[in-house]
Amino acid sequence: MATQTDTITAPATEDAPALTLTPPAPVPVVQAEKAAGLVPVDGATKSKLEEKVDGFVADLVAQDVNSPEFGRRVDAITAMGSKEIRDAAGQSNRFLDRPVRAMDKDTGVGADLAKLRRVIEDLDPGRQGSLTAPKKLFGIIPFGNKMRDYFDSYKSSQTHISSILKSLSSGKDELLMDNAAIDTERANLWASMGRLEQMIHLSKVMDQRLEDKANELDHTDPAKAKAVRESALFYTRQRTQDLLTQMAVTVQGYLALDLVKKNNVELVKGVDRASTTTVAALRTAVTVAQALTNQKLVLDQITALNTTTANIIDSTGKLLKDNTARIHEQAASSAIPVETLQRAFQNIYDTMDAIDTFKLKALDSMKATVGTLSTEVEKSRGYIARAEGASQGGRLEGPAAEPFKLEAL
Amino acid sequence: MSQEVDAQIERAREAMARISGGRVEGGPRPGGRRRRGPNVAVVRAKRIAAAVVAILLAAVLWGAAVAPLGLGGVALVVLLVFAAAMALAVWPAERAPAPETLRTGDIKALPAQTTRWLDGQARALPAPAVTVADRIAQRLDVLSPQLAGLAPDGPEAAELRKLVGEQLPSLVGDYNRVPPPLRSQARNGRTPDAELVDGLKLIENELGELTGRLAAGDLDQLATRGRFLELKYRDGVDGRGG
Repeated sequence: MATQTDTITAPATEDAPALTLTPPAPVPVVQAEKAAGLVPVDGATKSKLEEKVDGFVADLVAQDVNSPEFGRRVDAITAMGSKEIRDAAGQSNRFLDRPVRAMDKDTGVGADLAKLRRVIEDLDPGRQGSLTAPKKLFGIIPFGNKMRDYFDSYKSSQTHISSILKSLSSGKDELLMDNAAIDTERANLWASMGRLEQMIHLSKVMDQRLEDKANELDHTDPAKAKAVRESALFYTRQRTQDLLTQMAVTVQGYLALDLVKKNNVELVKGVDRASTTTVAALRTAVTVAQALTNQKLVLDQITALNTTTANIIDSTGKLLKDNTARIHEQAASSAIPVETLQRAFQNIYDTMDAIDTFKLKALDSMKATVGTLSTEVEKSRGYIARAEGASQGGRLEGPAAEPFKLEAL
Repeated sequence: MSQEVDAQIERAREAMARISGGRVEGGPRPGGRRRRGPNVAVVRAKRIAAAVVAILLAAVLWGAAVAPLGLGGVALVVLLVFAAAMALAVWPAERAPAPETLRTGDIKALPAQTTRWLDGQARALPAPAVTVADRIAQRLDVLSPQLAGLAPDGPEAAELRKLVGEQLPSLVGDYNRVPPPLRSQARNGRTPDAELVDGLKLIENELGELTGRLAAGDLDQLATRGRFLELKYRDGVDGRGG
């Protein structure tokens, strides 16, 4: 936080390096064909899945094509991965919900920042007219001291400011909690994607093996080859498509959650900076008051806040400790202490403007992301419905009571 | 055949777990195959205590007001106490709830009612099915406290009601309607006994998954809380240090 130091020690010279809050780019549409392969499936699992497929295909081909047993095995293909699809789809509502809530700007941190801005504007030395001009009753009789009155207004505002800063810090906690929840959700989604990925692999291998088998049967048993192609292979391809579609939606949701998380991280930065600059401005005011009017401005509330929230508002405590001495020196020696104060206020405004700009841009990204995500979720609903229908008949077991459920390991 | 082998293996596994003092996931808890709801036992103990106190009080009053009890009287009192305790321990017999109760009753009472209903059915079921029924009762035991915070008309509640309130009684009812001699005869390659056991196993499996689904929210909450503490305190300390 060298920024603050620079600003206060050399107030009139240069601006603090602006707080840059980068809104993340919107999440693009993930094509179903490209969705697979994001989560790696290790070799051992792959070979186990392939074994499963080989066993299944051998078993399928051994059955009479017209027997109910053949039908049952085809049913198992139809139901292939329906559990994985259902699981992943179950989370899609939740990951749609998050960005939408994040866009709701009139709550929490946004409202607190707006409040803080209003209070700060009231205290802004730039809006008080000339503070050094003598105050006159009816414009003629010298009466009181404008500067003294101005610094007195800090005393009445301090309770308000400290309560805003406190609620900003709890707003920051909420953002962190939100990010923690996103991390949990992303971990769950990652696991879901791993299972989907396994099913996609299984389904693709199944496609390959069935195709090979059908080609092989063309010479020996054309009727069976036809049955394999028309039922088993057909359903396998359908399932591959369903799985890929769900995978695409899940990947997109996963990326969207990351976007919300990044937004929150930036907002936390903004909140930290806003709190720090505010407290710094108040500190500066205390020092300037001492220098200009020999007035002991005691801001108990803010001092208390400093000590108790030094750990909560990152770096505030440390920054202020480092700078207090310098501000003293600066304010005492400077010919233009009011400008020092003005600069401190400018810092707050800059921070808040950066946050506002960020929020506008982030909102665009978020809207675009939610738009694509809802379209994709909607699209995948159709597939899920099919998966649901298939799962009704899919959980059958063979006569040997050996389940040939096709599911991820 | 493989069914029986499976059942045997399962039983051996449970026995091992009992011996080693551990608990097989989904297996009966050590000490006692059948359990009743704790409230039933408490109610009975209270009744017995009340009866014993009443008998003793009556004996004291008789001794004070009417005539001394004497040796025979004391013996009679002791006998009465024993008889009352024994009688109240088994009477009134718990009546298994009707399947209609399972279908329409309170969702929170459903696991206890279903367990009682299953207990009542145990006699009619083949041995491997009883083992699975025990496991279902076990699952229901685990599920029972989870239902406290469940919305009575939510999708999970509806699913549970459908599963144990409708499907389970229907499955057992269908089996019971098959004449006993036919139950062990294979039809289309499967015996009704095996069909029942497979069906019960699926229900047991589904109950396990329901428990997992209901717990998912709490597990997520816990993981989130832990992650939050990490983000706020551990990462924060690192940030300040660096």
